[in-house]
Amino acid sequence: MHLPVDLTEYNQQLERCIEAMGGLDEVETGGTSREAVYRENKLVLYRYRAEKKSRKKSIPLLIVYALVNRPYMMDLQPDRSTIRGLLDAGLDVFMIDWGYPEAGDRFLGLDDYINGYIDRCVDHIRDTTKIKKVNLLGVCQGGTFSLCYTALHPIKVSNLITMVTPVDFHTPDNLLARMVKRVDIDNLVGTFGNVPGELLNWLFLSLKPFRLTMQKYANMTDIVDDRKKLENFVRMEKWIADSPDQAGEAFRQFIKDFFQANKLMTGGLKIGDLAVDLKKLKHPVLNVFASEDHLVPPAASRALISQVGSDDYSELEFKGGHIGIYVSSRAQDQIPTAIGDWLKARS
Amino acid sequence: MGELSGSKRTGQTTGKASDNASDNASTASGIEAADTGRLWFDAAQRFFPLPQLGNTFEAPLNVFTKPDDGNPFLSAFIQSSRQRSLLDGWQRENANYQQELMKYQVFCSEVFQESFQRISKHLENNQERLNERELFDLWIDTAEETYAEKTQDDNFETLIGNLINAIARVRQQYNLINQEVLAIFNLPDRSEISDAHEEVKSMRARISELETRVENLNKRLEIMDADAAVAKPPAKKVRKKHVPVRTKKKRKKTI
Repeated sequence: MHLPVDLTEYNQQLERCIEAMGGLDEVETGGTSREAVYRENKLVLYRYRAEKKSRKKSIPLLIVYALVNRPYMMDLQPDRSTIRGLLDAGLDVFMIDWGYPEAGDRFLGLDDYINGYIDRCVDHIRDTTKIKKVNLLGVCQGGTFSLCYTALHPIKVSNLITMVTPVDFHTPDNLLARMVKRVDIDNLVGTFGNVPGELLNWLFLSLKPFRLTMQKYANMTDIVDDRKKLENFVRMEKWIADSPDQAGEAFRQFIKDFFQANKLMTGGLKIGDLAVDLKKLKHPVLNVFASEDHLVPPAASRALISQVGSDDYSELEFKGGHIGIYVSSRAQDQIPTAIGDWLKARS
Repeated sequence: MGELSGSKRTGQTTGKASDNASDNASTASGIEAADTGRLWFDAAQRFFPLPQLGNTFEAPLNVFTKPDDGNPFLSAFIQSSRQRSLLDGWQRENANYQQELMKYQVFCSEVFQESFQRISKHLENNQERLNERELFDLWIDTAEETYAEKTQDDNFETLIGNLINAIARVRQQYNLINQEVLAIFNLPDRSEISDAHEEVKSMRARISELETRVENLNKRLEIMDADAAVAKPPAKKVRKKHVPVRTKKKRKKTI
């Protein structure tokens, strides 16, 4: 083998790739029609519009996304959109966009997010749709928030769906938890105020550094002649790099109570003045997790079964990763339909 | 002024490891390119560095090191012992950060080195003929496997924890310097702005609470109005009854 020669060829292909990317227009995300129905500070609550209107009035589904990264992952592009799939399943879909916290938001805590923002969004939906309870779909960290919310405000929630949601933060394969275990969070938040998204991104990439920072870009040269695939690649890159800073107080509490003290498992969790007891959560629960999730290991999600007091608990395992569960073509076929069917069986 | 970017130092500390690794790989597999490992390694380095926090530290420190002699306030400040101690503090924390960064880089270089050794062994044992891409993919798999194993060690938690804590402490010193600089120009410092932010947050919460209460009161009023509307018909009947009476009276008068 004459590797240097091949590397030279590879470099040339890489150059072509960079050139081709330079020729791309600004990639757009989303595509599903939506309307901003409620605003507060940086938060915007969107209601999505189905192409075909369903005759039957369904219980509204509120998607609570994570604070890290941006929620347009749920509606990345027309052929990769969990939201579109949920609309097609006949659901009335709302989603919270948390926005980008600024310095003035550094004192927002989990109480503000969960008992404040989420609660007011739920109330807004209940008021405007005249339906007393909503269905909640929590994504990743947003799933953890949704669990807390449902336990604290049970009368406002009908069914709960958690997607790639961490519950047990101390499973042996949870590298992220181990990486933040010895971080002095008080000093970090006290010093930075809001925690830079860039720092979090570095942590996420450090979970699989060789695949996420090298192999991915090496593989990029395979799609140099396919404009659509190249656009998809750039769109994903845009989303990955689009990491909002984290409101300091919320970050402090999330890391200390969930990552470091694992209070959803060990008990003693309080959001504001309210104690969270998942045993009081009697709602039907659908727990969707990804078998190859490097960020939230399956065991971290599946621990939910031992914690909730619900008699109606279901699990859905998706064969894929943390991101693939939203954007892969297999996910488009499986996930929204499964959620729709599960909800219909409980409506 | 000190360079906080990790990329330069990464190159210095991990270069040796990549040399060894590539030698091992090429010896075992018969690859002619002794530099292969280093080429990949150099490419890898570009993706490994920590968040680039370096540039943000430069500006305020320049105020110390390049004083404007024409500004008596600034000159006086720069000569003060407090300024000296702030600079010392920043340099101390910066040195500590560089040490922690080096430990992290040593860890990374160990992963690289070990992954190359494993590949060499694998190729020796299996006598596979792999094309370049297959070899690269094999290395990625091996490197991830090695990385996953090495991160299981408790020392890794300490390594990452110390590194992030060191970054925060450098930034903490930078904040103190910034605070002094802002005071010179009679500008509000971070703690004053933080107080304002805290007040804004608490005002937002109060407004939100008041809005909810007003909304609830409005709802109650609406209910009360509706109840009142339901209860009103008898009163209307009374009015209707009065009208004919008056009419009659009027008639009586006209008669």
